[in-house]
Amino acid sequence: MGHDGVDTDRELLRRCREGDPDGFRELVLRYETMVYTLAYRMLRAREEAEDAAQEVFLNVFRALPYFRGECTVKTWIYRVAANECITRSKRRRKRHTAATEFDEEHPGPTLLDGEASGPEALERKEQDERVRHAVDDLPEKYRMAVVLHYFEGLSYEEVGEALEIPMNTVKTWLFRAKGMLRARLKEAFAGDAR
Amino acid sequence: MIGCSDVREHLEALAHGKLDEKLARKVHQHLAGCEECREFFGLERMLAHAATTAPSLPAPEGFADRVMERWERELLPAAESPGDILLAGTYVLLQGLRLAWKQMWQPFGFVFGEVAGVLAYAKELLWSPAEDACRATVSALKLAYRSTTF
Repeated sequence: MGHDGVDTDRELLRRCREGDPDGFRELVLRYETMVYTLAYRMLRAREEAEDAAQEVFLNVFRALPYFRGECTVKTWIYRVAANECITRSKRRRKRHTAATEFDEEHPGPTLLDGEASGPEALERKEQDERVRHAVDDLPEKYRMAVVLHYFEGLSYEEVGEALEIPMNTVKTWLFRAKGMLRARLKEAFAGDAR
Repeated sequence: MIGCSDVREHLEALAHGKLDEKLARKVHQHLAGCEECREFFGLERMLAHAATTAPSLPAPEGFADRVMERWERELLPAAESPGDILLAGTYVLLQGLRLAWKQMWQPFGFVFGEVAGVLAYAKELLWSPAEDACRATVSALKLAYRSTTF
């Protein structure tokens, strides 16, 4: 139990291992936003993201006996989530082209209160959308590395732990991903200019 | 002046404003004369901006309830497999039988003790004279045998 009466992550895992339903519910509530956001960023379809996020928590429960505590609980949950999302994304890519399945129910961010409005802000917003679409087109492993590092704010080391790859490989994947993004965005912006 | 590969190591920190002033100045000097690195820096800034404006998405309402439903439906039965139920049932049955057996014979314990005592006494009474008679007979036979041989 933490100082403020809230269970630490490891304490929660212990309760889950003992089959305590309240402990498992608390774990789900603590990480649902993180897992759902990652699933949505990888799958871009609300229903599939929810299904994937549910599966992630069930997989977390199934994998409890194998968690040895080499990384934080958060990174470990990211690992389980990354595996699920990559598998689903690959499966979907085989069936369809990803672009046709993008869900429009969660559009890009709207302008927040106090955020600059006008043509410049709109342009930035369009640019953000373009970047996100370019990220969506990356191969799964590179996309996951970019999402975890840039969008979820994980360090190289944490990305390595989540994807079970050495830190140098993380750097290589990100380097290659940025090379692809640069080429795609250049193409997109050049298309606009014509 | 620093080279392209060193500069690219620092572009992300520069885009996030996390590079120390001295190094930032050197990187900017390089960028002024290198178009490719400028493009990479542009990308870093675009990624940083896209990431900061991409909000975290709250899970749909009732998400935790749906996970708990699936947990109970899909994972709890696994912990109570037919093998586990059979094992637990057999254990309970054996314990019950053992207890019933003990309870059933407990009132007869005193009677059994008494009966055993009576039997032991009866054996003593009946067996001792018989044993004496046997011994006397054996002795007589031994004597008769000696007297005929000498």
